Amino acid sequence: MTSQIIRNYFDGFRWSNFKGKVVNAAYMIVYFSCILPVVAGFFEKLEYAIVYFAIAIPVLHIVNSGCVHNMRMPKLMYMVPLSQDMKREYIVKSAVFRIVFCTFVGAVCALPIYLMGLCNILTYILIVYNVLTLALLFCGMNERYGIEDDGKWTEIKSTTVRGVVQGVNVFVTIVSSFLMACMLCQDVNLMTKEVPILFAIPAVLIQLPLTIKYMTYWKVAVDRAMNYETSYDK
Amino acid sequence: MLLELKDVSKRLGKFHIKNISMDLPDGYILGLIGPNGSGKTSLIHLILGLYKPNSGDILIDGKSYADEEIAIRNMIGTVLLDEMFDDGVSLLSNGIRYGRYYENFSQDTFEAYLERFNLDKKRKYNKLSKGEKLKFQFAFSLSYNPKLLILDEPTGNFDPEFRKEFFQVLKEFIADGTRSVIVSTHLTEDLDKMADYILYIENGSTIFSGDIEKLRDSYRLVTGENYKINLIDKERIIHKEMGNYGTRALVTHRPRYTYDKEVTVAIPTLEEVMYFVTKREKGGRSK
Repeated sequence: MTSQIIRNYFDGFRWSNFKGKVVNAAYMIVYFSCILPVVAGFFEKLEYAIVYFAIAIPVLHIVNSGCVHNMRMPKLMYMVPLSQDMKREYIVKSAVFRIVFCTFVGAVCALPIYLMGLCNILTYILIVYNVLTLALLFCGMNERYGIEDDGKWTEIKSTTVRGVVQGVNVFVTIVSSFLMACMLCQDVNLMTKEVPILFAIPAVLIQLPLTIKYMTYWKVAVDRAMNYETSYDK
Repeated sequence: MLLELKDVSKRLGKFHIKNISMDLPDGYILGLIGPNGSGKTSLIHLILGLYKPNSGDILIDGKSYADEEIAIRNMIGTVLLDEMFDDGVSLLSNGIRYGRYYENFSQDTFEAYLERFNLDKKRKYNKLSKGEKLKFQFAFSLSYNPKLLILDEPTGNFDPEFRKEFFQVLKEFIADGTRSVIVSTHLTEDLDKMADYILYIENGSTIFSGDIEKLRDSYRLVTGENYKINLIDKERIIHKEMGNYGTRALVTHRPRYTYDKEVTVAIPTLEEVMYFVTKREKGGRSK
């Protein structure tokens, strides 16, 4: 099952899967790859470019992964003989794999910044923490809503709250990530203790509680993903 | 009884499947017919346990999804219009990847069917045409020896040569009298020859449920001059159509009913029954 989960993850990055979601993905790509670097002067020095890509690649990877991977099984898996426990295991393992893999990519991409001495270990941990937060928000419980028995679009009570929690958290995380990159390019010394603390404040005060709140919807999302009706059909 | 539907209802947005009941014994072919949007695919999703009914029971070989889901899934083979297998992966790999979940999956049988259906096992799934993808699903379903085959609109994408092969395989499949087939289609020509039972639905409701001979005995296609057709009891006329050389009407039939000598009376085909009943639903009774 694990090997199938891994294969399905990489199979998901097919162009056909981006159809209909291209506008969102394209906006992020254009913004991060063209506008922001030019405005922030990321390409003026090699070090700046490395810092930029160390932050941008994991973000783009997570956004694109969120576009093509939903919290559900492939259609055929709903028809093969699987017990409820096996279905749950498949869904949870898939979500965990997405989160762990995206975080791993973020950690690897940010490693050169640390190894080149552009930031200290605490800043590196904060960068990885930001990537983990984004991965949780985009790749973990990204589900499609279906219709309930009363014929209305699903509006579970948590939907609005969850959307706000997710939106605010994503905003804070992306802003703090790129602010950090911008500061590095403005030769702000991230080797000092003050700068990591500057980022630790929003991280701890805003991101962490929002992320914890967001993760309380995990069980609901898994339960819904076990049902074909709420995972696929409108 | 291999399949029992007891007053199955399901709300899907504004569309309702309403109180559908029917039984399919072992060893028979059921034709699920109805116009586009009548609820055939939704009913198949209910039978496959992908949708949960709001009310009513669905039993496969006496088992319910709530109690014995794995056993049921091991005995159902499907050919659906959805493209469900993994793109970019060979047919053989796809078969092994999903086949391992089935108790009775046989790779040899799978490969034999791929060969029989002229499908190259090394070809990637996404390189197949629509018809070939259906053939592949068919081969995969047969490879784990299911008791019930459920086929949703399969024949429309098959070439004439494979259609013959397809029906031949279905005949072989039910030959031992222990297995059954459900074929959903709006192309009824083949069902006229093949199906033993018909479930005809329209707007989610049952128009007819029973064996095909009973359906044929229930209707007559009457052709003649308009005034002669008008002599038939209006309640019996499902729908009538006036042409340049006379009027055709589908009427309900009982053995005791008699007809004017100047009208032609014929047993309608499934397609004709569907055509006239659909016309009635759209245009009101016997306009």
